[in-house]
Amino acid sequence: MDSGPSVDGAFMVELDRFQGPLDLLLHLIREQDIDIFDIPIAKITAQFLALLNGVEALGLDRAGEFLEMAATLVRIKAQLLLPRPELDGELEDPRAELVRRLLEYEHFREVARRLEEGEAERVRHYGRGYIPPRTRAEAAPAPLDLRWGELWAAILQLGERARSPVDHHVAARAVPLEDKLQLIRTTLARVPRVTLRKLVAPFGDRLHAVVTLVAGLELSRRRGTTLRQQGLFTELWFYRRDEPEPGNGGDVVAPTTPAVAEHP
Amino acid sequence: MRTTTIVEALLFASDAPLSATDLARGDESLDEDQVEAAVEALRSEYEATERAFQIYELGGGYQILTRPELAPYLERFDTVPQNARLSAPALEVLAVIAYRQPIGRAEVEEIRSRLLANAERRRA
Repeated sequence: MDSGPSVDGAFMVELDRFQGPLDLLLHLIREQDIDIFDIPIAKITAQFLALLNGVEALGLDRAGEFLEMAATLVRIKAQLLLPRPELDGELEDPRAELVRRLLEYEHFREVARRLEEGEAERVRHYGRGYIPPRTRAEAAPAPLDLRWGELWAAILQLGERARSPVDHHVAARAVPLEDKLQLIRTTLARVPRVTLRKLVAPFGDRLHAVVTLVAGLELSRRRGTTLRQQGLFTELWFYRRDEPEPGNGGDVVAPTTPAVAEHP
Repeated sequence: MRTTTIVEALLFASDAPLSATDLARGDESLDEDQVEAAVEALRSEYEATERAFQIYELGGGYQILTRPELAPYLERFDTVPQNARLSAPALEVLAVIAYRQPIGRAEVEEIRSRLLANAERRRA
């Protein structure tokens, strides 16, 4: 660390005044008109540590937070000093994460401050004295006192609005799960493995694809096949399994954890 | 009955803010524009006659409340219910909710702990 930190009176602050290390850091930065996107880490770290040294009586929990921040600062400084490997072109400035957290913190602190102002304004206004909450009396349904003509007019009005703009006709086309189970079984009897795409291709219909996938999951649950995938959105392979398929497992529910590859 | 009188009665008797729509329900002859005009009329009347209260707009409606400059007198009285203040953490939670809603409890806690305890999460 370079020349002794200039911990003059201006920065001798009561640590207790601060909510946490970010608060203190933000104070140091704003107090000295430092550009938050170009924080002189060495200087700030020195000041931060000098402040910590001045405080022995901080509880362990609180002190821990501040020390962790100090460690973060030192690590960032080290990262800045070390030559950076030219791995994948542009590397993020080691300070960026800290800056993000500082800005987020400042944002929410500002919002909380405004809310507090609003509250302070509101408490200066008094409503009328306390009125005990009363249970609302259940309103009796109003007696139907109208002529047929009025009722008819109301119904006509309602009809205008109530008519649904879109009629959905849902006609289920039967693609039995059992068919697809059989398809997978017979295919795997011929070849050791097959992709879902290939099984679905001759049908070219989304419903067939869905039912085939469900059948695959079901068969995997019954240990009739093994599902493999290289990564997200890649080909799904059905592998033959040599163990005999134990009897129907009863409920026809897809397994909750299909053998799908982990997120990369 | 004058519209302003009806609106005044409703605001006087209610212990929660009432919106113009709420107030318009007070009488079949009322609509929201009339209610707003009545509120304005009452406001200038209270202003002109230096009443202790005024109609304020808050919580999506109108409510009759005392003027802020009377707070020092009212604070002294036990018989006057005092307004509760929120704690600093409560305000922070409110701030997070206001800017990130809809948001669940776990997420609020996560942001708050990131803000306050500053646990290093992003770098493993």
